[in-house]
Amino acid sequence: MAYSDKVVDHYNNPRNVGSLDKSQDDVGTGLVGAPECGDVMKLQIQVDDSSGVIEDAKFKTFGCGSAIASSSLATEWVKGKTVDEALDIKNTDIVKELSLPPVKIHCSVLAEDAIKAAISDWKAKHPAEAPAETAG
Amino acid sequence: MKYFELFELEPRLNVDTAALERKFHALSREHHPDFHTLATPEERARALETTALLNDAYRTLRDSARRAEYLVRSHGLEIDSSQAPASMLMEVFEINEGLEELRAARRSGTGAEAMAEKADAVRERIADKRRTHDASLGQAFDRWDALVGTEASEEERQDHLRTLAEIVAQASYIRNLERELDEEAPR
Repeated sequence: MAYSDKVVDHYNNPRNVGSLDKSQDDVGTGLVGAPECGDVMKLQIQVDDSSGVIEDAKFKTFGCGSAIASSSLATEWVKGKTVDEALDIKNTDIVKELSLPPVKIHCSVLAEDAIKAAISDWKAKHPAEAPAETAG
Repeated sequence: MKYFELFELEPRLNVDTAALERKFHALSREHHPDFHTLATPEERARALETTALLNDAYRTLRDSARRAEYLVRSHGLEIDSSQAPASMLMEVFEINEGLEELRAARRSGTGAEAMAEKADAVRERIADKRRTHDASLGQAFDRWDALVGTEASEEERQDHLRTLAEIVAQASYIRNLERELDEEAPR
């Protein structure tokens, strides 16, 4: 089964690989795994406390090309969004963007779970910031 | 639970694999299509079907993880797809980082002796995970087997099966680590 061009591109030039200091107050860390294949994915976000905007995102994934591409894309997408906007990213958006075949859909689910886990970790550090009303 | 019945076994998880193998060979001989050449076409077709079923059943039951998976699925439950405990994922992640360092060290031309030392450290961590996992699988097997043939409630059985499914679901992480290490530093 051939990978799509976009998967290959993210695999060869992954965006935002690395780590943020998880002990820092403005950093949220999500660590998730896929029991289907044994892949593990860490996604971290750095959030501006006053605006709730995700200023930086890093990932590190041990897994197949699709898992790496899904998490690489996820970090690209969350950057510049508020945490509430980032929560709207659906795994199906990732599937579409990367043209993932059915057997690799769980990789996109993993990336969505990682975003949500990172955000809930950040929120747990900021109990005061209740989910803001989204305008419009 | 067709597979267990085929081998005339109670649906227990602790299986004497040597006895299972002997039974498999005996049943295979009995049903082998070559020994039914004089039978009717229907009988031959049935022999072929039984042989295929026997092979599937044997492959499933001889492996402890696949056996547990089969038992869980036969009871209408899925292997647990929810997240493994955070501590477990953290450890798996760290061991993966250890493997990554190992690859980097090899690429940068680290000497054989230093490489072997690094590989052994990672190997020991993986072996430790494997031991812990096998032990909890063994305990879950014993708890299930103690229920077989008792008046235990359906609720209690389902409860045990769910625990079993959770443990079986963690096997893939360890298998992955073992495979990666094997590729990087074969024994």
